Amino acid sequence: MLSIQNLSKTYKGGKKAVSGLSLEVAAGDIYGFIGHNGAGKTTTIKSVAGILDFEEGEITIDGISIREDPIRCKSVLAYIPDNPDLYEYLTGIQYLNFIADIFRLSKSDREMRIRNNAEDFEITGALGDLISSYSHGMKQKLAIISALIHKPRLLILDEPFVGLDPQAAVVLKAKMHEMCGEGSAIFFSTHVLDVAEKLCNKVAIIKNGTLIAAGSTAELTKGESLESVFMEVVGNGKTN
Amino acid sequence: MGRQIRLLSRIGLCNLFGINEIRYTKDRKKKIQYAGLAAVWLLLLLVYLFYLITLSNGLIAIGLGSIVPMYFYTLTSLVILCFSFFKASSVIFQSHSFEMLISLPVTEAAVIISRFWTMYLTNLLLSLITLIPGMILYGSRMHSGPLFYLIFLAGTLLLPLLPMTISTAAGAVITAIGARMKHKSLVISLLTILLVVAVMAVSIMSQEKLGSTATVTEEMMTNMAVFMQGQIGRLYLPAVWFNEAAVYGSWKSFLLLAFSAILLFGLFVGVLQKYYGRICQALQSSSAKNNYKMQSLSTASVLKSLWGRELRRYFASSVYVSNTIIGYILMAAAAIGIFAAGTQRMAQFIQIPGITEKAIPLLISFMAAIMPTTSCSVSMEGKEFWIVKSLPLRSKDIFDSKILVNLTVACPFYLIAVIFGCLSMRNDPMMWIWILLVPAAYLWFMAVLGITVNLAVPVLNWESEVRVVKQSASTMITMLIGFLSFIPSAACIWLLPQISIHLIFAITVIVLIGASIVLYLKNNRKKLINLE
Repeated sequence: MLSIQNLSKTYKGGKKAVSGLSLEVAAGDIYGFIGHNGAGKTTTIKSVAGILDFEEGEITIDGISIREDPIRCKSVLAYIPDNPDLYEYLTGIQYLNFIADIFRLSKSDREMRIRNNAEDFEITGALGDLISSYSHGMKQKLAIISALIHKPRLLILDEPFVGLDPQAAVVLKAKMHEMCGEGSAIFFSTHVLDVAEKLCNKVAIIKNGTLIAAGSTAELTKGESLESVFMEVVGNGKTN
Repeated sequence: MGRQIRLLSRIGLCNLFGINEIRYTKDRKKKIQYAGLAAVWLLLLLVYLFYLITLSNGLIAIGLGSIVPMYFYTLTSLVILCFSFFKASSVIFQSHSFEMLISLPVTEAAVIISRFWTMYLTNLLLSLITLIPGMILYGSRMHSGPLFYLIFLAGTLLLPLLPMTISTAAGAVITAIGARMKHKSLVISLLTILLVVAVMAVSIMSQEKLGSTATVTEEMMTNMAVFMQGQIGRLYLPAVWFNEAAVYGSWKSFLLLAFSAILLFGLFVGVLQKYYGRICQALQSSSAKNNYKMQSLSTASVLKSLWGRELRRYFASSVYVSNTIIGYILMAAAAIGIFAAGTQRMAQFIQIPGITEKAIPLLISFMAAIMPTTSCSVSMEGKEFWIVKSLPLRSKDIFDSKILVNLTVACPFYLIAVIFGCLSMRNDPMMWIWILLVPAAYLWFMAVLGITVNLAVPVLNWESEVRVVKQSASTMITMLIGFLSFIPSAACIWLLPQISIHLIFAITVIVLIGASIVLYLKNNRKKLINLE
């Protein structure tokens, strides 16, 4: 589903954010991407989402290069940033309808999916209000709904559980499982190792722009907690 | 409180004109952009200085040198008034940082005073740059003593206070009224535009009283100077006091000037302080009913959806609307004015020999070139740019929607301009074609040009819309290119009257459309992913 080959990204000023990163996310995977602050997680995620250009490597989604055919790739993916700056001058429903128009959803599909997701996340009542009146958590929920309504094959999230209330977090996890059961894949970064351990069947650990561990969660942890594995790996720079 | 004011001011000033960004950014392209913007501002200042010096020399030559300081004072005050008016509300109220500041152990008074201090220093810089050369020139021509220079310098320090007070008071009233409404931005935009149009109308009516003569003569200049002196004396006494203090050494006048400027400013700040917190909070609050029930949703094409989004974005920003719509209002106003005054009066009013009523299509189009909405439309995406970047959208779709919004906003004013322009030229139906086509070609060209320039010099990390709409290289460069684009046609009409006006306009339209197509195709090849 998602293939990252030898990705490297250097920002203006010389900072190498990601260096030679390679990983594969298969259909049905919930892939956790963990690392310290400034490790290169967001850079990697934005490169996959087609928001950030990169100088080396290749990223393909369903075999299509994000560089050569970004429109086709973006038609099957959805991206949610860690701090979703949404169009504050729109109401929630206007924003969702806008996204639905871009993905050319039919009237019946968009109405049904928006209704169901809004009910699940309990923000139906707020959809008629301007996004400027939303709390951070409500914006997060709206961004998640906007990502789900067009049923993406690849869902990319950057710290999705930050700002979500516990109920919404449970709903999101359920939807992630549902999506993966239908053949989609999820690739997300998180600092909450507990969530990554319980939710993800695969994880990758990045440190200073370099991938230092990747594989199935069970194989990586080998009975230990992900937290202790992470601390060991990040401290030593290698796994045992 | 002094310490708080100092700290807050330092933060406010550290990125004055983008200095902090230039210091610490590692992006060479950004540094070049700032250098370009600085060059444009320098050019404008030099033009303004040239105008002041020429005016000064002219007045001295006709024996009216004693009123030059008054002219300088008034003109510079007007410039500060205009500049401050559009940005006063956003600088003083800066609602996005208000909550953060108020949560710190700082007083509201310190916040207000620091913001005014920041504005004052910016305006003082303008005063010094423009008045000091004028002072030196005047002083040397009129052999003034040391007292003149002392009072002139002191007056320069006082100069920004009154225009700042007036512009901020007007801006504060408009903001206060708008803050109570549901559609704040729209109300603030409308009130701002009404005020600007009212000021322009009064200004034009005052100029009418000058009368009109067919040619510029020394007698006419003297009459004009005397008339302006009277007007300034009636409307702006501080300029008169400044003049009396600087030229005649009147301490009484200087004290009147100092006292009025400081007292009025202090009173205004005192009153504003009382309502400041309420206004800031009202600006930030949004009405939330939380009672939405799912309704039937309408579908739209991608372009229509993007156009709707862009249109809402436009009208959601009072700064964006008030700064860009003025040109289109002037376009319509110019056509109405020409119709009302008659084409003969128009030729006399312009006072440029050889420019006849046949230049009407060009005059109308000139207003449309002031500031297209597209000149900052890419930058206005700001922090939300990730949305369109992550969606399956072509660059063309996004840019088309921005151009469409530009044309949508301009359309009603264009139609008014065409109707009244044609009515003005009802005796020459052939000109109707050019009244229809020339402004249309310019509108289209400027809309596309705005995108081109903004793609070359985008500013996506901004805190205040003022930075993007009023202070960006993109808007300045677009305006400059727009004005320069008139030179060939205007020069042909003025210098080569033997050439058929229809030929000149035909070539103008063809060149504009050709240039628009070239730029349009260039824009569409741009990848959004490369914009950061």
